[in-house]
Amino acid sequence: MIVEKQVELSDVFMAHRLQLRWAALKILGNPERAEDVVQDAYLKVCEAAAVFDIKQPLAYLFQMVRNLAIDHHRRAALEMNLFENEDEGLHVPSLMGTPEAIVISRQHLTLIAKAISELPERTRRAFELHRLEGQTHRVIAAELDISTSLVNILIHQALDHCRAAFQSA
Amino acid sequence: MQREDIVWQTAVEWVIRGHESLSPADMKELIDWLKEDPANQAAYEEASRLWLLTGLVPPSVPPSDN
Repeated sequence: MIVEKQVELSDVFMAHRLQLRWAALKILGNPERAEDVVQDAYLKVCEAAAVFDIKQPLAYLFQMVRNLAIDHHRRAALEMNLFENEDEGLHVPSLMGTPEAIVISRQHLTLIAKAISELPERTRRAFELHRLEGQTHRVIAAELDISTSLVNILIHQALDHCRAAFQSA
Repeated sequence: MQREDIVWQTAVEWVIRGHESLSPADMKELIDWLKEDPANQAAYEEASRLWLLTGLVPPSVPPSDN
Protein backbone atom coordinates (compact mmCIF):
# COMPACT_ATOMS: atom_id res chain seq x y z
CA MET A 1 0.00 0.00 0.00
CA ILE A 2 2.78 2.40 0.92
CA VAL A 3 4.48 1.81 -2.40
CA GLU A 4 1.22 2.47 -4.25
CA LYS A 5 0.75 5.78 -2.44
CA GLN A 6 4.30 6.87 -3.26
CA VAL A 7 3.79 6.19 -6.93
CA GLU A 8 0.51 8.03 -6.88
CA LEU A 9 1.83 11.17 -5.19
CA SER A 10 4.87 11.41 -7.43
CA ASP A 11 2.60 10.91 -10.46
CA VAL A 12 0.50 13.85 -9.32
CA PHE A 13 3.69 15.80 -8.78
CA MET A 14 4.98 15.12 -12.28
CA ALA A 15 1.62 15.86 -13.88
CA HIS A 16 1.57 19.31 -12.21
CA ARG A 17 5.26 20.07 -12.23
CA LEU A 18 4.91 23.25 -14.29
CA GLN A 19 2.18 24.69 -12.07
CA LEU A 20 4.20 23.84 -8.97
CA ARG A 21 7.25 25.58 -10.40
CA TRP A 22 5.11 28.58 -11.25
CA ALA A 23 3.89 28.70 -7.64
CA ALA A 24 7.50 28.70 -6.44
CA LEU A 25 8.49 31.29 -9.03
CA LYS A 26 5.78 33.70 -7.83
CA ILE A 27 7.34 33.64 -4.37
CA LEU A 28 11.01 33.56 -5.35
CA GLY A 29 11.02 35.67 -8.52
CA ASN A 30 13.92 33.64 -9.89
CA PRO A 31 13.53 30.66 -12.28
CA GLU A 32 16.67 28.83 -11.15
CA ARG A 33 15.79 29.03 -7.49
CA ALA A 34 12.21 28.03 -8.29
CA GLU A 35 13.57 24.94 -10.05
CA ASP A 36 15.79 24.17 -7.03
CA VAL A 37 12.77 24.36 -4.74
CA VAL A 38 10.70 22.09 -6.99
CA GLN A 39 13.47 19.49 -7.05
CA ASP A 40 13.87 19.73 -3.29
CA ALA A 41 10.10 19.38 -2.90
CA TYR A 42 10.13 16.22 -4.98
CA LEU A 43 12.63 14.55 -2.66
CA LYS A 44 10.65 15.59 0.40
CA VAL A 45 7.38 14.46 -1.19
CA CYS A 46 8.77 10.96 -1.53
CA GLU A 47 9.63 10.92 2.18
CA ALA A 48 6.29 12.41 3.18
CA ALA A 49 4.36 9.92 1.03
CA ALA A 50 5.92 7.08 2.99
CA VAL A 51 4.82 8.57 6.32
CA PHE A 52 1.47 10.28 5.75
CA ASP A 53 -1.90 9.33 4.41
CA ILE A 54 -2.39 12.32 2.13
CA LYS A 55 -6.04 12.85 1.28
CA GLN A 56 -5.71 15.80 -1.06
CA PRO A 57 -2.48 15.20 -2.97
CA LEU A 58 -2.54 18.28 -5.19
CA ALA A 59 -3.42 20.71 -2.38
CA TYR A 60 -0.69 19.10 -0.30
CA LEU A 61 1.91 19.47 -3.06
CA PHE A 62 1.09 23.16 -3.45
CA GLN A 63 1.26 23.62 0.33
CA MET A 64 4.67 21.95 0.42
CA VAL A 65 6.11 23.88 -2.52
CA ARG A 66 4.77 27.17 -1.16
CA ASN A 67 6.23 26.57 2.28
CA LEU A 68 9.59 25.44 0.92
CA ALA A 69 9.71 28.47 -1.38
CA ILE A 70 8.89 30.85 1.50
CA ASP A 71 11.52 29.15 3.63
CA HIS A 72 14.07 29.37 0.84
CA HIS A 73 13.23 33.02 0.27
CA ARG A 74 13.59 33.83 3.96
CA ARG A 75 16.99 32.15 4.19
CA ALA A 76 18.24 33.70 0.97
CA ALA A 77 17.24 37.19 2.14
CA LEU A 78 18.96 36.62 5.46
CA GLU A 79 22.11 35.27 3.82
CA MET A 80 22.30 38.18 1.41
CA ASN A 81 22.06 40.64 4.28
CA LEU A 82 24.60 38.70 6.29
CA PHE A 83 27.10 38.86 3.44
CA GLU A 84 26.70 42.61 3.38
CA ASN A 85 27.64 42.56 7.05
CA GLU A 86 30.57 40.22 6.54
CA ASP A 87 33.23 42.89 7.05
CA GLU A 88 31.92 43.22 10.58
CA GLY A 89 33.28 39.80 11.34
CA LEU A 90 30.15 37.67 11.35
CA HIS A 91 30.72 34.03 10.53
CA VAL A 92 28.32 33.75 7.65
CA PRO A 93 28.81 30.23 6.31
CA SER A 94 28.11 28.58 9.62
CA LEU A 95 24.91 30.44 10.29
CA MET A 96 22.33 29.00 7.97
CA GLY A 97 22.11 25.89 5.87
CA THR A 98 20.22 26.07 2.62
CA PRO A 99 16.85 24.23 2.54
CA GLU A 100 18.36 21.75 0.10
CA ALA A 101 20.93 20.83 2.71
CA ILE A 102 18.25 20.11 5.26
CA VAL A 103 17.51 16.44 5.09
CA ILE A 104 14.07 15.52 6.28
CA SER A 105 13.91 12.14 7.93
CA ARG A 106 10.76 10.04 8.17
CA GLN A 107 11.31 9.83 11.89
CA HIS A 108 11.21 13.62 12.21
CA LEU A 109 8.11 13.88 10.03
CA THR A 110 6.35 11.31 12.19
CA LEU A 111 7.42 13.08 15.36
CA ILE A 112 6.26 16.51 14.21
CA ALA A 113 2.90 15.20 12.96
CA LYS A 114 2.32 13.48 16.29
CA ALA A 115 3.22 16.66 18.19
CA ILE A 116 0.76 18.71 16.12
CA SER A 117 -1.99 16.11 16.61
CA GLU A 118 -1.53 16.42 20.39
CA LEU A 119 -2.28 20.15 20.43
CA PRO A 120 -5.54 21.44 21.90
CA GLU A 121 -8.11 21.84 19.12
CA ARG A 122 -8.06 25.64 18.97
CA THR A 123 -4.26 25.81 19.06
CA ARG A 124 -3.96 23.24 16.31
CA ARG A 125 -6.51 25.01 14.15
CA ALA A 126 -4.81 28.40 14.57
CA PHE A 127 -1.44 26.87 13.78
CA GLU A 128 -2.67 25.00 10.70
CA LEU A 129 -4.49 28.05 9.35
CA HIS A 130 -1.28 30.02 9.67
CA ARG A 131 1.28 27.45 8.68
CA LEU A 132 -0.53 25.26 6.18
CA GLU A 133 -3.04 27.63 4.65
CA GLY A 134 -0.88 30.75 4.87
CA GLN A 135 -3.57 32.84 6.56
CA THR A 136 -2.74 36.10 8.31
CA HIS A 137 -3.20 36.58 12.04
CA ARG A 138 -6.15 38.83 11.30
CA VAL A 139 -8.00 36.26 9.21
CA ILE A 140 -7.37 33.54 11.80
CA ALA A 141 -8.56 35.82 14.61
CA ALA A 142 -11.82 36.45 12.74
CA GLU A 143 -12.34 32.78 11.95
CA LEU A 144 -11.75 31.60 15.51
CA ASP A 145 -13.33 34.68 17.10
CA ILE A 146 -10.26 35.52 19.17
CA SER A 147 -7.81 38.46 19.29
CA THR A 148 -4.80 38.65 16.96
CA SER A 149 -2.48 38.65 19.96
CA LEU A 150 -4.02 35.37 21.13
CA VAL A 151 -3.47 33.96 17.62
CA ASN A 152 0.21 34.78 17.99
CA ILE A 153 0.34 33.18 21.44
CA LEU A 154 -1.29 29.99 20.11
CA ILE A 155 1.21 29.76 17.24
CA HIS A 156 4.04 30.17 19.73
CA GLN A 157 2.55 27.47 21.96
CA ALA A 158 2.27 25.11 19.01
CA LEU A 159 5.94 25.49 18.16
CA ASP A 160 6.90 25.23 21.85
CA HIS A 161 5.09 21.91 21.99
CA CYS A 162 6.85 20.65 18.84
CA ARG A 163 10.18 21.62 20.38
CA ALA A 164 9.38 19.79 23.61
CA ALA A 165 8.36 16.70 21.62
CA PHE A 166 11.74 16.70 19.85
CA GLN A 167 13.66 17.27 23.04
CA SER A 168 11.98 14.37 24.82
CA ALA A 169 12.28 12.02 21.81
CA MET B 1 10.92 34.10 32.10
CA GLN B 2 14.42 32.69 32.11
CA ARG B 3 16.96 33.99 29.65
CA GLU B 4 16.91 30.79 27.61
CA ASP B 5 13.13 31.03 27.27
CA ILE B 6 13.38 34.63 26.14
CA VAL B 7 15.95 33.69 23.50
CA TRP B 8 13.72 30.85 22.27
CA GLN B 9 10.58 32.99 22.17
CA THR B 10 12.43 35.73 20.32
CA ALA B 11 13.73 33.21 17.78
CA VAL B 12 10.22 31.84 17.23
CA GLU B 13 8.84 35.35 16.80
CA TRP B 14 11.45 36.09 14.13
CA VAL B 15 10.69 32.87 12.31
CA ILE B 16 6.94 33.62 12.38
CA ARG B 17 7.55 37.17 11.16
CA GLY B 18 9.88 35.89 8.46
CA HIS B 19 6.81 34.26 6.98
CA GLU B 20 6.19 37.62 5.32
CA SER B 21 9.05 39.58 3.84
CA LEU B 22 10.88 41.63 6.43
CA SER B 23 11.45 45.35 5.94
CA PRO B 24 15.11 46.49 5.74
CA ALA B 25 14.83 47.86 9.29
CA ASP B 26 13.45 44.54 10.59
CA MET B 27 16.18 42.66 8.76
CA LYS B 28 18.83 44.81 10.41
CA GLU B 29 17.23 44.20 13.79
CA LEU B 30 17.25 40.45 13.16
CA ILE B 31 20.89 40.45 12.08
CA ASP B 32 21.91 42.55 15.07
CA TRP B 33 20.11 40.09 17.32
CA LEU B 34 21.79 37.08 15.66
CA LYS B 35 25.21 38.70 16.03
CA GLU B 36 24.64 39.43 19.68
CA ASP B 37 25.06 35.87 20.92
CA PRO B 38 25.73 32.41 19.42
CA ALA B 39 22.83 31.18 21.57
CA ASN B 40 20.54 33.43 19.53
CA GLN B 41 21.80 31.86 16.30
CA ALA B 42 21.33 28.36 17.68
CA ALA B 43 17.78 29.12 18.78
CA TYR B 44 16.98 30.70 15.43
CA GLU B 45 18.27 27.65 13.57
CA GLU B 46 16.31 25.29 15.80
CA ALA B 47 13.10 27.29 15.36
CA SER B 48 13.67 27.51 11.58
CA ARG B 49 14.13 23.79 11.32
CA LEU B 50 11.00 22.98 13.33
CA TRP B 51 9.11 25.56 11.30
CA LEU B 52 10.20 23.92 8.05
CA LEU B 53 9.10 20.51 9.32
CA THR B 54 5.67 21.74 10.39
CA GLY B 55 5.09 23.02 6.85
CA LEU B 56 5.47 19.49 5.49
CA VAL B 57 2.70 17.91 7.56
CA PRO B 58 -0.61 17.48 5.73
CA PRO B 59 -3.54 19.35 7.33
CA SER B 60 -5.77 17.34 9.65
CA VAL B 61 -8.76 19.22 8.27
CA PRO B 62 -8.67 19.58 4.48
CA PRO B 63 -8.47 23.27 3.50
CA SER B 64 -11.66 24.78 2.15
CA ASP B 65 -11.95 25.25 -1.60
CA ASN B 66 -10.29 28.29 -3.07
